[in-house]
Amino acid sequence: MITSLSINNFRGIKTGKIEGFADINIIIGANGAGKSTILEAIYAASAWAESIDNIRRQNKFDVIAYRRTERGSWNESRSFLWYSMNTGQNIEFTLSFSSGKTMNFIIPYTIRGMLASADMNKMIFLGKNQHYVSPEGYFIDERNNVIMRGSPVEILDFFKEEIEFLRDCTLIDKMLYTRMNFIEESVWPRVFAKRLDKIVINLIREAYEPDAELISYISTGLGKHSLTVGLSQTAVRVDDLGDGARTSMALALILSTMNHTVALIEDPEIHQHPTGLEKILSFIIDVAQLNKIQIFITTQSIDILRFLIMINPANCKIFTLRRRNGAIQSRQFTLDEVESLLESRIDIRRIIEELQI
Amino acid sequence: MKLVEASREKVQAYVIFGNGALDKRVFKTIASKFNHKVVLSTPFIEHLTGLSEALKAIIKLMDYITLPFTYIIVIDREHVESEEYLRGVTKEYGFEIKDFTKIDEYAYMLEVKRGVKTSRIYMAINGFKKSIEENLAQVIELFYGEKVDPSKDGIKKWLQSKNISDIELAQKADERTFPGIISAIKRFLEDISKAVH
Repeated sequence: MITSLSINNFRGIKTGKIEGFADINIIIGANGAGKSTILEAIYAASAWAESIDNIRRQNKFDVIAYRRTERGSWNESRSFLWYSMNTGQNIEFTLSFSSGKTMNFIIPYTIRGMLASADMNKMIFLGKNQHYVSPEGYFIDERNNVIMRGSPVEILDFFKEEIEFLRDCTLIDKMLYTRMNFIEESVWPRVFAKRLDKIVINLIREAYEPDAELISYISTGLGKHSLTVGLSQTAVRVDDLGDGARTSMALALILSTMNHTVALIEDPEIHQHPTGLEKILSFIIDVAQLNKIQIFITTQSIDILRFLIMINPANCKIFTLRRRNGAIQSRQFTLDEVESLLESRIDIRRIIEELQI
Repeated sequence: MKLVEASREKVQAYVIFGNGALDKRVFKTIASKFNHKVVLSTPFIEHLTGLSEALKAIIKLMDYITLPFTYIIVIDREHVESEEYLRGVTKEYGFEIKDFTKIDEYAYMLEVKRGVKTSRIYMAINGFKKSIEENLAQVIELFYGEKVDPSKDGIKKWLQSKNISDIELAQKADERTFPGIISAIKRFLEDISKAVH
């Protein structure tokens, strides 16, 4: 489990550290406070363990560059991802784990002494004993010079558990909520192989379509298929479900295939009526406990906090964030404290701004 | 029974909590042990604690929501001093009591009329003298053999020391530990079953 995260020189964050992460972490804060950047930092760090997003089938750095505004790949727009375009300094992430180990990652803008290639722009290095090494075995010094090519076996051995934990790290955002083709191609076969579809159809039935009976592929043309929900009298392509049902379905399908890793969930309240939100949140908590998934949720929704108080999962924390001059400040709350605030009619979303905590 | 805030399925009763989120979690957990086909809703109405506030919430629901006119109030003993007090406050808020059934020491069923609408209110009282913490303390004593101070802090500290949640504790609830909730639920289920047949 990740217990703390430090970020330097990434997106809008010049520097910041958040400590005390739990199994379930809810991150709230004003627009631009850095919530999404925190998710992206963990996701980027996981690129050392596995560079390709196993749902989108794209390089994770490209996903980070592309996902918010779809304005081009990492190679085309990466300089904007360095704080204030300060590309002379490396992006740095530090992740501490419950094992007691700490992983220091750097993403250099320029690496010297290598043949130029598009892929060298997407390299991430993990530090140990004053050396930083990429998964490909490039060792660099403090000036980002490649000093040797070898095998990262020592670091792989030392961080074996942590690397495994990060390997299937998944960033679930509006890109995945709307692109069901990713789910159809990458997730559905794994869901169906274990007949987890039965759990997902229960969720759809209880919250969205009371007469939903099954999920199946149907042919939509030569070589083309689409996931379809079978109702008692008709069938609806997943693409044509209501937005809330589709969002929940994407979340449920992805999470049900994850195991012993970290899920980064951005704004799960999008398009959700409280009925759906209550169900999908219960589903997220249940599957997280069952499959040992550490959860990070960014949200602006008080409903999520109210429903969490009802579910009362063990080891859950709420973090409020604010960003001043590039520095992140955070404060953590337990669910008991949030419950007291809500009972006193205090809006926790505003507390960090207005009460100047 | 499933307790949700809102549901696509038919809701059989609205549950109003006279106290805080702990009562909701406990009731939801106990209710889940009974008939899974029955859906109860705890509508999102902001109200203060106490019997008067719970009745005011019911009045709002009766004004704005059509069926069902069936309500379950879950409330601490400290807010319902006596049977006379319950009758008095109910009348004070404009409910004409058509039937007043004492199910047992901790549960009542009231058939009331307000305007042209008739409704049923099941009342589940928590706490033997004061509050729900006494019920939880009873669970701890019976199932863990430990005496705990029946206060918010006392229960919280004990739960933390054992690293278990209040929901896990509520899963052990029975007639001895939560007589009010269980009697009210049983009577409610009996009544809706009679209505179906």
